[in-house]
Parts: sequence; structure tokens; C-alpha cells
Amino acid sequence: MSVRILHVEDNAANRMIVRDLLEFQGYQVVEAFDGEEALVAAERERPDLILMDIQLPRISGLEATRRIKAREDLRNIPIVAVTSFALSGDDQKASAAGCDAYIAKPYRPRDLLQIVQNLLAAGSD
Amino acid sequence: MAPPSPDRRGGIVRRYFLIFAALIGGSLAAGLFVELAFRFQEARLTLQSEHQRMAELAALRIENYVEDIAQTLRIAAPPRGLKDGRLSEDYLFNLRTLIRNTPAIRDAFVIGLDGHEQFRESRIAASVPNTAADHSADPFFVAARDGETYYGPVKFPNDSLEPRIRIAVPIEPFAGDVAGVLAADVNVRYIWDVVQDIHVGKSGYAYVVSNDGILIAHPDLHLVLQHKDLSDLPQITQLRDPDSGESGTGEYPGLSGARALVAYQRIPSLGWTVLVERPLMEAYGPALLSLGRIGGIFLALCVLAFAAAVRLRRRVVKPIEALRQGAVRLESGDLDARLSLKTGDEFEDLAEDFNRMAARLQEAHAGLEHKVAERTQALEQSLGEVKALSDTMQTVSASLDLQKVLQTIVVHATELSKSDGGVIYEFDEDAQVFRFRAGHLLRPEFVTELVAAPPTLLDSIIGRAAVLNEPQNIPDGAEPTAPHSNTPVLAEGYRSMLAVPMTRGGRVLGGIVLGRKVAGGYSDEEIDLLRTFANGCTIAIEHARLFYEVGRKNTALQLASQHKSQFLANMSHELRTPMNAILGFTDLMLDGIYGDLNPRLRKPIDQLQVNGQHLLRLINDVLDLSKIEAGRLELSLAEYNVDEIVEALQAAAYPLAQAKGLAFGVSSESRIGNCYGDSKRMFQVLLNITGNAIKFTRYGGVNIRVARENGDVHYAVRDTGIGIPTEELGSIFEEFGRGDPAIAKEFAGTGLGLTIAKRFVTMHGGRIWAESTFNVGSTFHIVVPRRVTAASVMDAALGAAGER
Repeated sequence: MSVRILHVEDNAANRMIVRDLLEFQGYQVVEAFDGEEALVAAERERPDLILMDIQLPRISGLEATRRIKAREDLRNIPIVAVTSFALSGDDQKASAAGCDAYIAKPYRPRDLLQIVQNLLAAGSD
Repeated sequence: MAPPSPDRRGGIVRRYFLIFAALIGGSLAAGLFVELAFRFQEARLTLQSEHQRMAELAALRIENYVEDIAQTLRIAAPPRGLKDGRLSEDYLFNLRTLIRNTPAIRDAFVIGLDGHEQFRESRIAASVPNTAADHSADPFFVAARDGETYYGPVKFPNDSLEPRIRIAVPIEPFAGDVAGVLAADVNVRYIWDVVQDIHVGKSGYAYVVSNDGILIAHPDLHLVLQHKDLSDLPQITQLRDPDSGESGTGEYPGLSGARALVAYQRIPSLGWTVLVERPLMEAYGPALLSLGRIGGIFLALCVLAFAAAVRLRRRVVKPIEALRQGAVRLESGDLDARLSLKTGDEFEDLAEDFNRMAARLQEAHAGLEHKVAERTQALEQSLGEVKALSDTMQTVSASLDLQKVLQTIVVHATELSKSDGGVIYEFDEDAQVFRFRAGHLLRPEFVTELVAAPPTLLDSIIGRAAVLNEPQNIPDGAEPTAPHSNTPVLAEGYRSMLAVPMTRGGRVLGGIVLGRKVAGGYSDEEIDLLRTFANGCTIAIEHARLFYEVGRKNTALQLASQHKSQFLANMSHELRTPMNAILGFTDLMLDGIYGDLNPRLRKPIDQLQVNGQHLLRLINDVLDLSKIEAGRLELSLAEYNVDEIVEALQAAAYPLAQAKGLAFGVSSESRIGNCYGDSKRMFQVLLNITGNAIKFTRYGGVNIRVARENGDVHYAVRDTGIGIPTEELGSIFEEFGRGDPAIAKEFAGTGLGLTIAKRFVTMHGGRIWAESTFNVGSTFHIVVPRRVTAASVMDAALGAAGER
């Protein structure tokens, strides 16, 4: 069974990049467009990892992360925060919300991949 | 002033009196004394010379008496009386006659040249036997034989108490031819008569002393008969002194023992001395009496003068003392002090002047007290006003609550002016009416009325005051002529009205209206006071309006700031998201995720990536700068190790330099150790400068030197690059200050790197500057404190703000 990654992102181009990158690497990618969808998708798909954009319509990525991490059955899913603020303190905010890793836009695809691989490796140990 | 000490009292008068008394009395006494002394001396001399003359006179008389006898004897011895040693009858007859006629002659005898007595005739014995005694050796015989008249010494024969002397004369038939000697024993008793006749004054007398000091004549016969030897008396002793002369006067102890004035005169032929003696007291008595009289008169005069002076002093001192005491009483505050001096002279005038002065002083004092009372009252009132004003102003400045300020003012204004009611209106410019804002001592119903029907500019006193910009003082609102006497106010019972406008720069802000339920109006002082209160209101209203305005603007500013932050955040997101897509796709294409890249596409996609990266840096720099300027970028201060930063810098820059074939080196003079600051930003600055150095260097190399300088760390980044023209050195740290556009084109960069670097360095409290020679190379210096303090950060922030 292939590794399933939930990518939450409202920008279509970025969704495409991640899908192309991760599927090329053999991962299964499911997508959500906002925070609410992310919660539903996490519940439904039970992904091995979530890439969570922070700036999202309706429920923000941070809030969605908090809710997921509040769930006993979903808590173990690693979440990577993807932010475009790059303001000082964004990483702390992400970490406080429960994110396991942090990457700022614009990211190099291979950097993202590196983080994903590291987290999955850590989870499977 | 302390009252004069008692011993000083009347000091001047007493002193002058004593000085005058001493001067006048002294000079008078001295003059008198001298005068008296001279007079006495004169009197004494006169007396003495009188005395002397008496003595001379007595001596002369005695001498004459004796010489008369001797003369008589000579006459009685005629030249031919003795012939051949024989006495003729004639001679004897003559002799007898002589003796008979001359009672003083007791015996007379004739002696022949042989010295034998030849004849003797005696008054006592009828017939005296011829003794024929030999006298040839006797001095009297010798002397007479030699042609001289001999006066013998005084003798007191046994048979008689009376003294005698022997007188012998030569018997000369012819001159020089002595035939014999005629001698006679003369009873000296007869000179007694002479002496007794001499009276000097009352008790003065004369006496005669023989050569050997025996008293031979004295008015008191008894003394003479005692053969009194006076040779011990000083005046007699002195006679023996050869220098004493024949005569003299002096004061000696008299015979009676008391001192006496004594004059003496010698009778040289007899060897006797006549002394005239008079008791001193008697002699000088008259003179002394006279002197005493003069002295007495003087004394009396002195006493009189003294008494007069004392009286005069009293007359002068008493009024002066009275004046002085009066002055003392005045001085001690007893203004009722008056003097009553009925001296009838200048003192009385002076006393009257004094009384007038005291009266005037009393009047002035009474006036002064009245004035003081008046002033005190005025002062108290002013004090009350000042206090009220100060309270008001304090409220105005301390409180931003306009209602509270206006209430304070209306209360103070009403009560201070003793009004029966007061109102403060604020002018409503939109409605052009005066809105009731605060009132004091008003019935609630009346307030409701005022609120319901606000006064306008045209139909009210306050409106009139505001239009004219002058306080309106209505003495009696019930008067038909009174302007705008409106019924509700009159109905409330107000008669006197005062309205003071509040204006600011020609704008009507409002006004204060006071009312009293009695007619009479307000005084100018009260109007001034109310004006002051109106000014206070004006300030308070302005104050409140300004505060409201500031608050509103502040809120707007905060909102704007929030919008800006939001905008920045949105911008960041909105720009980065598409950038992510562009760079992501480029990367994926170049990484061959979409299959092998068509070689013809390779170059364009490379360019896409390079330009995309550049655009991203630009976006990041602009955001950084915006954040710095918005004050949202703060240093996160912590301990960091400079050496670690330098190592990281080396690791980051070395590949870049190597890629361009440049030499790269870092020299650290010593281990710098720990610093305090924002290590991330410092690294960013150093990487930017080093990156620039590598970027602008085609040949040669880049060298970084790190050194400790006092409390600073000095980084120097030197390159052998293209250099910076001198005229551009000053502007390279400004935004987009990079000089030549051609160069900018060749060396990709945002143009914001140095600006941001400078901001970060400045935020650390440090300095950054460049030295450069065009086409030779540049050196960038960065000096930052090893330990950043809050103060240096604050200074830097202010400095940065000042540059804006």
C-alpha cells in the first residue's frame, strides 16, 4: 500500500506542483482546498502525512492543524506547515499549533521532498 | 529702639553744664587767685616797706637823741675850759648847767690828757669827790683822746635798773688839739620814751637791742628791766650776719611768740638795732580782710551763678526730658501722648509742634488701620478668587471630562460672584443655538425649560454678548428698556443679569450667564472675574475638542497601521504563492520530472529560474524594508559566537568565490568570543556584503578581516573588484542607490541589500561605511558593539526615524 499524503492548498498551480512531485516519487496524493475540507479529508482518507498551507479560506491551516491534533485517532499524522508569510514567529506559531515541520514558500521542490521523506522515515521507525 | 539707659538720661545737658561750669568757674577762680595773690603780695610789700620806714624812723630818732647828747657834750666842753690841766669856773658852770638841762646825763666827768679824772659832776650826788681815777687805758678815753666821739656799750649798773652808756668826746681848744676828754654816763632810759612813742597799728611796737643782743628798750619796761637776752631770736641772730646789711624786713617769731612782721634798722654808731614788730595777723589783717571780702564776693557770685545754672538746667532739661519721654511714648505706640509745657518759650512751641505731630500721626495711623482693614478684606476676596480660579484651572488641566470642568466652573463662578444662579452654554453651530451644558443653584424645572427652549444668537442676552463679543451687564431685567428681558428668567425672579461670551478666533463657543434676584447689576471686578472663568471654559472646551480629535485621529492611525500590516502579510502571501508556482514548475522541469527536457527549452527555462529567483529576492527585500520601516522588524537579541558566524560565512561564501575563480580568505586577529545581538541579522548583513564583494569582483579575490576594537567588533570586507566612484560612495546605502544602470544590469541585485544591511547595523548601534578606489577595489567596514544594549537600539531607531 502506497504512502498517502494529504495536500491542503487553495492555489491550483501549487497543488499541481506538489502532486507532480510527489506522484513522481510514488506517493499517493489527495487534495483539499480549505481548512474544512482538510478536516473532512483527514477523517476520511487517514493520510500518512499532511502538507498544510497556513493561509486558507474559511478555517486557517493553523486552526485545522489544532483540530486534527486534538483528535485522538488523527493526532499521529505528521503535519508539515507551508507558509508564505515568512514573518518572524511563523514557525513558532506553526509549532504551537501542533505542526511537526515547517517550510516557507517559495520552496524548492526538492527541499519539500526532503522534509516529507524525513518525516515519513521517522514515523515508520 | 531700646529706651535710653537711665544713666544716659539728660547726659548732654549735664555734660555741657559741667563743662561750662568748670570752664567759667575755673577761669574765674584762677583769675581771682592770681589777682588775690598779687594783691596780697603788693599789700605785704607795702606793709613791709612801711614797717621798714618806721624802723628807720625810730632808729633815726634814737640815734639823733644819743647824738644830741654827744653834741651837747661837745658844746659843753669849750675850747678853753681846760687850761693847763685845770678846769675853769666857766667850764664847770657850763658843765653843771648841761647836766641840769639834760636829764639823761647822770654823771659827767673830765679827764685830763694824762688819763686822770679831774672833775666829776653828778646829778645824784651833790658833791662828788675827785676820784682822780686813772682812765688812761680805758677805751672811751683812748677813743676820745684820738678825737672821736665814743659811745660805750649798754651797761646795767648795780645801783640802777636803768641801762646806761658812756659817751666820751674830746675836749679840743682847737681842732685837732685835744686838751682832755669829757665823758658822761647817759641814762638810756630816755630812749624808752622814744620807743614807747612808736606805735605801729594797734599792737605793733618797737624795741631796741644792744650789740650783744640785750633788750635795752621796749614799751614793756618790765622786759627791759629783766635785761632780757634776745640774742637767740632768729631776727637778732640774723643781725650778726655781716651780709644782712643795716636794715631789713621779715617775718619772724615775735617776742610774744606769735609770728610777726619784723623790720630792723641798725644804728651803726651805737651798734644798736631798732626792731619794729607787729603781729602778722594784725599786719596783714586788713589786706587779708580785703582779700577775704573779694573772695567772699566771688564765692557768693559763684554760688549765685551755680544756682542760676542749676535753675537754667532745670528749665532746659525738664522740657527736653518731657519731649523725650513723649517721643518714647509715641515710639512705643502710645499715640495719645501729648505734652503740656507752659514755659512760654521755644519749648512750649516745640511741645505744641510735638502735639500737632502726634495728632497727625494718630490720624494717619487711624487712616492706615482703616486702609489695612480695607486691603485685608480685598486681599481675602482676591485670595478666594485666586483659589477658585486655581481650583478651576486645576480641574481644567487635570480633567478631560468636559462636563466636570464646566460644572466646576459654573459652581465657582456663581458662588464667587454671590449670584443666585448660573448657567454655562455651549454654542451649537449647526443649530445656531446655545445648548445648556451646566448650571448651579437652578430649579430642575427651570433647567428643563432652558434645555427645551435653547437661547439663540438673536433673542437672548448671551446671544447678544456673543454677537458683540462683549459681556452684557443688565442691572435690572424688569426694566422695559432692558434687552431681551425674557419671561421665564424674570418669572424665576432674576433681576440682575450678567452674560459673558466664550469665543475663540472669532468663533462662538458658548457663554456663561449669571443672575441675581436683586436689581443692581455686577461690578467691573465681577465682570473681569467672570471673563476669567469664561476663558477657563474656552480652554476646557477647546481642550476637550482637541482631545476628542486626537483620539479620533489616533484610532484612525492605529487602523491604518493595522491595514498596512495586513497589507504586508497579504502581499507576502499573494506574491509568494504565484512565485512558488513559477519556481516550482521550473525546478520540476529542470529536474526532469516531466521527462527529458527539450534542449531548445533548456536555456529559456534556466532564464525563467534565474529571473524568478531574482524576483523573489526583490520581494523579500522589499518586505524586509517595509517591515523595518513599519517598526515591525525587531532584533531578537541573544548571546552568539562571532567565530561561529564567521565560519558559517566562510562556508557560505567560499563556494561562490570558488565558482568565479577568486581567492577567498578570512583572517581573525584573535578569537572574538561571545557577543550579544541578533546573530541571524548580523549573518545576513555579512553575507550580503561578502556576496556583493564576490559579485563585483572579476579578478583577484575577497578577504575578510575580523578584529576586536575596545567594545566593538570590526569586520572589514576587502575586494579587488570594480570599485565605486567617489561621488557615489555616499549614496550606495540608500534605497536603489546603486550607481551605474549598466553595472546594475551586469551584476544582478535588488539594490536594497546595502540599505537593509545598513539598517540592521544601525539597529545594533553600529556603523557601516565603504572605502573604494575605482577599478582597484573596495573595502566595506562594519563596526558593531559586542554587546547591544537597549539604549543603543533605541538610539538607532530614533536615528533611523530621523533619516526618514
